[in-house]
Amino acid sequence: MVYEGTYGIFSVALVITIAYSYAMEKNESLENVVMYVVVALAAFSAQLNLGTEDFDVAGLGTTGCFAAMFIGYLSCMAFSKLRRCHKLMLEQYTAGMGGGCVLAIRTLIPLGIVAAGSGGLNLLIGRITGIYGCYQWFNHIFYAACQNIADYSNFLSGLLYTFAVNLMWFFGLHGSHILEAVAVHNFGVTGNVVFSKAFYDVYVAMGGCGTTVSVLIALLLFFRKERTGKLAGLASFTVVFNLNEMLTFGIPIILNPILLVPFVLTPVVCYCLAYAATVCGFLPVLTHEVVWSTPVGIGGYLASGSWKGIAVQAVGILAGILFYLPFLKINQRMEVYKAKRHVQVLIHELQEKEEQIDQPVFLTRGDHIGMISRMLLLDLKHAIKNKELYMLYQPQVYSDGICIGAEALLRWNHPVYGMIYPPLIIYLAEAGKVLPELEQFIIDEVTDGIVQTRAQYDSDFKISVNITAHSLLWDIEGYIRQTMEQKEIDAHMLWIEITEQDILLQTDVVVRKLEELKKQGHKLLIDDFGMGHTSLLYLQSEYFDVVKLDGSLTRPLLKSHTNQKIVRSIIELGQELGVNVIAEFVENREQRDLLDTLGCHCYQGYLYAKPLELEEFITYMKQMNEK
Amino acid sequence: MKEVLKRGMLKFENSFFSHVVRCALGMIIPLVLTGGISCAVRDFPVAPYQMFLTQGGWEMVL
Repeated sequence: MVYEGTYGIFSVALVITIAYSYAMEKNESLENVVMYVVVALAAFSAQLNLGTEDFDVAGLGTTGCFAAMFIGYLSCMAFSKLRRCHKLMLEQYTAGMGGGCVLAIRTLIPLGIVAAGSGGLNLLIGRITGIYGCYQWFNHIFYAACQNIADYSNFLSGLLYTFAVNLMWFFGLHGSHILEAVAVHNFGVTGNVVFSKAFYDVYVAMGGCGTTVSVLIALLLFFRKERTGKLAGLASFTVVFNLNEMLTFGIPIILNPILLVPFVLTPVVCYCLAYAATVCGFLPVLTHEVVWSTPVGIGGYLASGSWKGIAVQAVGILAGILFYLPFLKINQRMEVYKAKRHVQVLIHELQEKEEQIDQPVFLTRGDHIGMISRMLLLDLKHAIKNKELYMLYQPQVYSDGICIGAEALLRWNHPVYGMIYPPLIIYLAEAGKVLPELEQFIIDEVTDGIVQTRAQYDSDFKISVNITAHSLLWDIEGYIRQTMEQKEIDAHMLWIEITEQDILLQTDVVVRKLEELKKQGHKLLIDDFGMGHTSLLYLQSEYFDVVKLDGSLTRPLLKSHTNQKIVRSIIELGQELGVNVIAEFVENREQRDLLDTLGCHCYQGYLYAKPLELEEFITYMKQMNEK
Repeated sequence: MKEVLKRGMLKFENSFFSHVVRCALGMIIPLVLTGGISCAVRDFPVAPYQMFLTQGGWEMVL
């Protein structure tokens, strides 16, 4: 029952997942995703000859998988194109209707066209060839291509069968199922000749198609720390029973051009070895059936009745490992290269959203950007737990050369993707709901940094730390108070920075929390001032002590007279209200001198120092303040 | 030649079709594994175990 309920509906499930993936890759809404699935199922059903004598239930199972893939993909493609044609969407009839109904009416004609097209094609080809149903055509073609392979010598026909089955598997087709009739009809399950279906199952398909037990061992031995190695660990139990889908779909091997050669040729090598061993008399001719799911080793023993079967299997597996290894290394390099590229695209899209002052949505996306975001979020959770993130400190210096402290900046050097863009870390933590954990880590690190600095530096200093509007939605002020008390740090040593845009997001909560932080004795800074929708009310309020000018104002300062006027106005307003101004991104002397002339006397930027390790920062501060 | 191959591979790897099919096949893993495990459990080649399955009617369930 379980077997029939799973393998028996394989093709139907495949049509659904193809349509779902297609729509998700197109970044469609959930309602549209459902419509894609409905359309694909309708098109597939039109190929099944339901209600006629040509209907074969086997078409719903693994036998029909190629047809499912073919029809599923083509129907989605056609539906996607038809949806772009406004005349077919019946938009004029949908005014004033509810959401679900609108979608159903708009889908009506495209769905009808796709289903009718599929049925029409079935009828047309059926009339010409006498064979009805897409899966029947494909099976007929595959069978016709392979049915004569037994006309050759037993060795050559076995070789061709091995090659054909594994080639089919490479394209996601259940080759063994499709060609089962060919195997049983031409070679028999067992027989007096060397090659039989049982021979293939025992000595060739070890761990499943492509002799994937070799892949499993190679990954466990040489790629244990990589993603594929971890996947292999997870898949090992099933591969023992020759069920390799977790590896073939997970690495993936299917449709992976890098692994095509070893995937198709390793079974051929194993076949040749076992065939030679049988012809030489080392192995007996297999005369009894061994079930395909029998574990490697046991299968060899049952087939040969001695250790010799196990030995031949072991040699085949070893040859497979050696053959797969260089290709797996190339695949690993390619995987890293691709992932890095996807991360770059993700960062680029995030930066675009930042420029447009728009809320990014990546985690719920169905395309590769969504996938890499979710993968990064998992890694981030792991990194927070294992303290793999760290803080750097960028000094803040007065015009007279006195270093007053630093801004603590979060960094994450990902083991695969390298340095991750800090706003991306914050976005992932916010969207993935791990911001409290991340900020607890930051507060712990920064307060530890203050304790360490205090032990080596006698005079007064401060470290500022960034929080976001979402930070204020958990008890961050309570956590800061508790940590500061535990480590006996005075509140004036920890300054809190919050961006201007964040302040405007959660007004009531923000005000209450800011009051609390202010009461505790922390100085509050508005970060990136001048970038968002400036609310001068916040300057007027008594919460903020310092304003940090945004880089978009300070970077082009020398060239832009408008920026100079804006900066001068902010500084004058700050002076009137008793709010200090710090300029960020100060990168050269001319820029610094101009800011000084405009009335800004505190700077942060590469002119003074890049973000430093804690020990380097302490040394820097000592040197600057000894002068 | 190496560059052409690399470019071709990348083109295919990044193609829409490849993404869709791989994702679809990935999603079908639980179904295939359930069927496969059921088959492995059903056909495990130990005579007393097979007798137990047949007598207890478990073979039907699997």
